[in-house]
Amino acid sequence: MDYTEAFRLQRELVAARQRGVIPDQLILLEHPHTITLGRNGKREHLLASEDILQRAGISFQETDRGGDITYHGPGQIVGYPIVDLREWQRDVAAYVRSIEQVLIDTLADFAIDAERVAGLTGVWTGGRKIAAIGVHISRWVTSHGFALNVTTDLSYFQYIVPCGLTLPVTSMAELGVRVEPQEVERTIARHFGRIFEREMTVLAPVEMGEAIL
Amino acid sequence: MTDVVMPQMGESIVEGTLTKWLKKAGDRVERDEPLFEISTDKVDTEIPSPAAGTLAEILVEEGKTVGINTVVAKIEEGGNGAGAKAAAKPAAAPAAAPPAPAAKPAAPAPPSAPPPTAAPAAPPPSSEGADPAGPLSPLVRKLARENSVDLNRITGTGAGGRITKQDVEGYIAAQKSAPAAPAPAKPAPAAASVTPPAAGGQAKTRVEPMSTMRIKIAEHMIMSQATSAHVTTVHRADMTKVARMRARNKPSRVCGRFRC
Repeated sequence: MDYTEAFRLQRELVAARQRGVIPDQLILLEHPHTITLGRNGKREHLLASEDILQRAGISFQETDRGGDITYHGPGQIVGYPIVDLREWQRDVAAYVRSIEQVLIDTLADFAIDAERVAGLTGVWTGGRKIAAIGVHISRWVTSHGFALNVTTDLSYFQYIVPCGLTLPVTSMAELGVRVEPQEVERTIARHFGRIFEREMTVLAPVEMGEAIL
Repeated sequence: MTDVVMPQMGESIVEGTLTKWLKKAGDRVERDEPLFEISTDKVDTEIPSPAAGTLAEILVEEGKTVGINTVVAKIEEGGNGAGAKAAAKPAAAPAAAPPAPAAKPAAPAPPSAPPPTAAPAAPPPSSEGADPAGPLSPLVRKLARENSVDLNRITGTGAGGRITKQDVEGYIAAQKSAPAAPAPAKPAPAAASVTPPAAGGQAKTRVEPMSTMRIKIAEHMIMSQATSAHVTTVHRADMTKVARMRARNKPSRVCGRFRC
């Protein structure tokens, strides 16, 4: 799904969640090649001109999530949980730690030993970043979320300084795990439901749209 | 005026960075309308306005990291034009200084503290019974109380206009020789004795609320005191030989090893 389209969907879901007309949501999708800059991002972390990006077929978006610059693209599972933290824990730090735990447990199911690195939000394995996190909260309702590299073409990260850190990135494929993104999505959903104590129901994209209406 | 404070975004979070003001000073805001954004650990949060009115003052600028409960702005409720504006002016004056300390997490909500101390400080010259400005020694207080002397009637001759024991004694002597004014009102000394010492000592004492971190530290200390067994052990050691050896080696270069 296109980034701007996904952004619009998130906004509608957030508004509906704030009104209390829908339960918590977890959107799992893949974006075409996109580079996004967070609210506190530094433009100099974009290493290529927008002109070059356009020629490489990458769109560039400034967005309102936390964190710095990052890349999204095919083979990377992007998760956007729309959760009302008032019904879970009114704690943004606990929320971010729990998202990390969902990803760590997911990777463990594929025999990848991942961990947190103090002060560097995200999920790391062997000193390389495998999943990035950037969240936005409005009236305790979350949006944006995480991006886990499954079969991501890591060469696209050369256009940026990911999250403003000069540390390497990795993917599940690079670590030798051959897996379909759909299977990883199912695993993420299962762990998400367990950690956030939510019963997960699968909705087709169309149903999700209907949920708002 | 409603204070807008840095909210607590979670138990372990003690501060946040104010990343963006979504309104400018003077702008009209509705209750619950997003007012500013803060950032904590890769999370951006929109903070809604606690009240409807006019954003009167922004006390913390963008990019600053402040402790939770720090007053970041003030909202004038209702926003009914000039009348409210004029009333706000004097309040703004004492509040103008705080932004600097407010930037440090150690001093949450200092702007609200000064007015209470400033208010009682003003009336004393006219009203009887209250302590005169400046510190008073316990001796002077006692002397004044026992002799039913209104300290406001005495001109201090001590350091910085401070009232000394001699001043009070001199005043009492003068009153005795010329009992023209039996004025000293009865309730006056009583009121003076009730006033806490802090009221007069405005020079050095500053009362400020504890930060969340201090509150947590205090709670934990009390808890550990309540839940751990406390034991005192006493060891007796004969240091005579050691002391003798230290004394013997003092002038020599070996000294350095014994930290004498």
